[in-house]
Amino acid sequence: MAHLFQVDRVKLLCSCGVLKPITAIYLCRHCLKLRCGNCVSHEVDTLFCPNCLENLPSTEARLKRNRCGSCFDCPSCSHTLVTRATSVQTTAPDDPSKTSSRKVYYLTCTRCRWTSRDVGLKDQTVASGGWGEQDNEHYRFLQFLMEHYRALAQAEKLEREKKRSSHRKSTYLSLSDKYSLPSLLGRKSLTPLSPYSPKGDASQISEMIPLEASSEVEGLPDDIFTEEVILSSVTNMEQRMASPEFQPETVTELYPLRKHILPKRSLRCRHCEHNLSKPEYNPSSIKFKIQLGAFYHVPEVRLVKSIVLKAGVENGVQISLCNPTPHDITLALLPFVPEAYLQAQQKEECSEGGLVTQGGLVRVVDIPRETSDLKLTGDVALPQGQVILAARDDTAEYDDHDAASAYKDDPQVVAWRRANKVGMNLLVTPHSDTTRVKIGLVLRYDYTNTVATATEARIVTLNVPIMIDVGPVSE
Amino acid sequence: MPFYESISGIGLKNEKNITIVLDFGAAYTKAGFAGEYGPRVITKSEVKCRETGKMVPVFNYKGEDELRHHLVDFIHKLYFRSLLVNPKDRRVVVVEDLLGSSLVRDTIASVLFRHYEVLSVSFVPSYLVAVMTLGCSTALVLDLGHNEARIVPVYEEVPILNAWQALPLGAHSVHSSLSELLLDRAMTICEGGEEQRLSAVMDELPDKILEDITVRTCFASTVERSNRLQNNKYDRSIEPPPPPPSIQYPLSGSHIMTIPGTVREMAAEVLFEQDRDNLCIPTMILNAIISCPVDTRKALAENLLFIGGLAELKGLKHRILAEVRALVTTPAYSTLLPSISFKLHTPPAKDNYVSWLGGAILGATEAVVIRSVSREQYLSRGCVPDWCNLFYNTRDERDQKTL
Repeated sequence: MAHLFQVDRVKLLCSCGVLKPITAIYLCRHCLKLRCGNCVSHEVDTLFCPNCLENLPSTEARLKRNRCGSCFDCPSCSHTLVTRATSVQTTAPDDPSKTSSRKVYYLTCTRCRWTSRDVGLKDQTVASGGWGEQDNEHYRFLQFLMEHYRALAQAEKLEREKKRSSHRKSTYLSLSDKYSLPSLLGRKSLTPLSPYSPKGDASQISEMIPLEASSEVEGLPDDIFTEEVILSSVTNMEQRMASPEFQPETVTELYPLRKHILPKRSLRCRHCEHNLSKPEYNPSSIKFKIQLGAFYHVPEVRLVKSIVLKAGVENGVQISLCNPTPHDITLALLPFVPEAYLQAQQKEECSEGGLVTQGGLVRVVDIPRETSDLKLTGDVALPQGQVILAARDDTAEYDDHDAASAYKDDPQVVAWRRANKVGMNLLVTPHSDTTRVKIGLVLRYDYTNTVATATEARIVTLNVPIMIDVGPVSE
Repeated sequence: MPFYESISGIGLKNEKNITIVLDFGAAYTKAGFAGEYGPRVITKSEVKCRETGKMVPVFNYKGEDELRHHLVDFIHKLYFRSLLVNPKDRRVVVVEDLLGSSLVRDTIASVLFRHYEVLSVSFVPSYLVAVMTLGCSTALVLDLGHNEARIVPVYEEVPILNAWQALPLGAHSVHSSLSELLLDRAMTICEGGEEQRLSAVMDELPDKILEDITVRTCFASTVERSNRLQNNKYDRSIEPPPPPPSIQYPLSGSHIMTIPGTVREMAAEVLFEQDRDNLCIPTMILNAIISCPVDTRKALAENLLFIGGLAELKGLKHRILAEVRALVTTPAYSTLLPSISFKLHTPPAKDNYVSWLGGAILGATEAVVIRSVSREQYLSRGCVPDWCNLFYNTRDERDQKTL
């Protein structure tokens, strides 16, 4: 779709200063400003396995280290593994002459033909689950180490608190001294109050046995100068990094990888904390509970056809405007002056910041403003006057009724009209020293706000700055 | 109030908000949760460039803005593809290089606090936390990274900064040496079956292939063989040692490269060739020890720790140790470092994430609450504590009173 409609030709200037196509921009209905992926806060909404599409609650995901319990990836090529069933003949233990067949399961990759049998993993008797986890060889030592440092940090913290409370005593005696618990914390009897307190105090801290350095290091294997290396038996970087804790060096050490789960993200406006996009809970659904994409709220501007402009003269360029909302939209095109626009925005930001602090609300953490390339390389003569865009109506397509007659259009402004679309002619004069023409305009339109709680007027006027890459210039 | 602090300390144990540990590297970035024994992900430090759409290294930037864009996108990928947690209101431990650039540090802080609104950030020195993984307090840490080999000795948990050493001898230099050797010596079999020199087919090898060849086929040779190879360069009469077997390496569907055995052996030699200042990795170690106070030298030499991805190269640790032992007997060092013995630590982790592990250990303790910059502090001051910033690095009032 991106290629078909060439969305990169027409870009909207987001309130954070980034130019993005309409498909990547959101309209916050509460702030009534454009937002984009750069200036909203992202949140993990739900977690799911991309293979079996099962939801994982966040607590379970944490326990499973963000991996699915039943799906596996190939450790060799990271394709999804499939479980294959086969039957094996086994002899009954009591009677060697009798044989019975038993179903067993193993994992295999349909892409690179890797199987769990390749690396000597035993076949499973159950179809799913049963594949164990690898254990970190340093597990016990690291566990001790963590406990040791926790105890140390705890001791340090207590020390600090003791110091602080004694310091406070000297400065102002009254209240804190009478009731303060911390001054008692120094005593051994009360140490278990805090979660990491080493039972038995400093003695345990010193119990840690550090690793010993050795004077001998494992050198090269003796056969490295004579043995042929089979390249396919040595793992590459991707295979090693797929399991960071173990980093297998040869393919015989590969172990099936549990499938990494994926999140569904919801987006939130930083300024008003309202959701801009919230996916449905069900992983197999691609719908959204809330989706405030600009595509649904801002008239879409598109170049009707791609043309090559002539240098130095006025060129006719046709754009189309499309109304995505179920309300009529009155709009006008205004000239865009980048410098003035940026200044006005800065002023607005200052006043906004003032308001927030006066109200005593939590200050919004501002992200640094981005600077985009807003250099205009063409002058544009915009049609004067207002245009009404008809509401979007899915049945209009089947209507023979001619919509154009219903509106008294100025032929100077409107080139054509079809259902909820309108074509307009612009006159573009390329600047002398340019090879590609970029023009800017401000789309001023009346937006019908459908938020139930909107305290302001239901119809508000919005200004959307738009940069259009009209096309190359020929001499 | 201290009492409430200890309640918030319980909140730390509350698994809901486990601290995130990030270790940004020039080539690979390690990310995971504090209190775990390995990172969740080790990923290439690459992002899609916002302008061109090509993958570019995160720390390859022209200006602050570009670095910020890279970091915003990269951290987004870490959080929403690997860690899958909300960045907001979670503590972060960043394992930083003591010798790294302030711009990178400030930008990381700005991105984490402003874009991701994290609760607090704690920058911990990679050398110090690497030593923490050993359970001891003294070690000479040699970080064999992508761009540089760096040394900072740590004595009783204090990095001895004036003894730092750094040379541009990292995995990158091994790659360029490998590339040079291959273009000089390697042959390729083309589609028609005829053999051609590699340099006739291509001008340069992509970094990804060089890395792959280094990881899968190269090794650091022994001192004895290396000497014979060196001598052979100057005096053709000295027989070079028999080369290790060559390897057929598929470059693409139509080209198969033959990597000569000598190239496999010699690619890492660049780490041991002394440059014009007579410096290489073994001399770095000795120079670092010499710049340390006399009392600490013995302890440091007996507690060497090699970390970083390059340290995993086969035979490299053994070779460095052998070279150091040989070098210390030469007149230049034997008077300064008499009767000194060298011992090497084996960290309880793969070499490339030792620092990360240290950060994860630290992040699981109360220390992360005390030693981090909170979002409020950052937003009111607009910077992170740094030794060269006088705002943080002046004596506080209480000290002055006592003096």
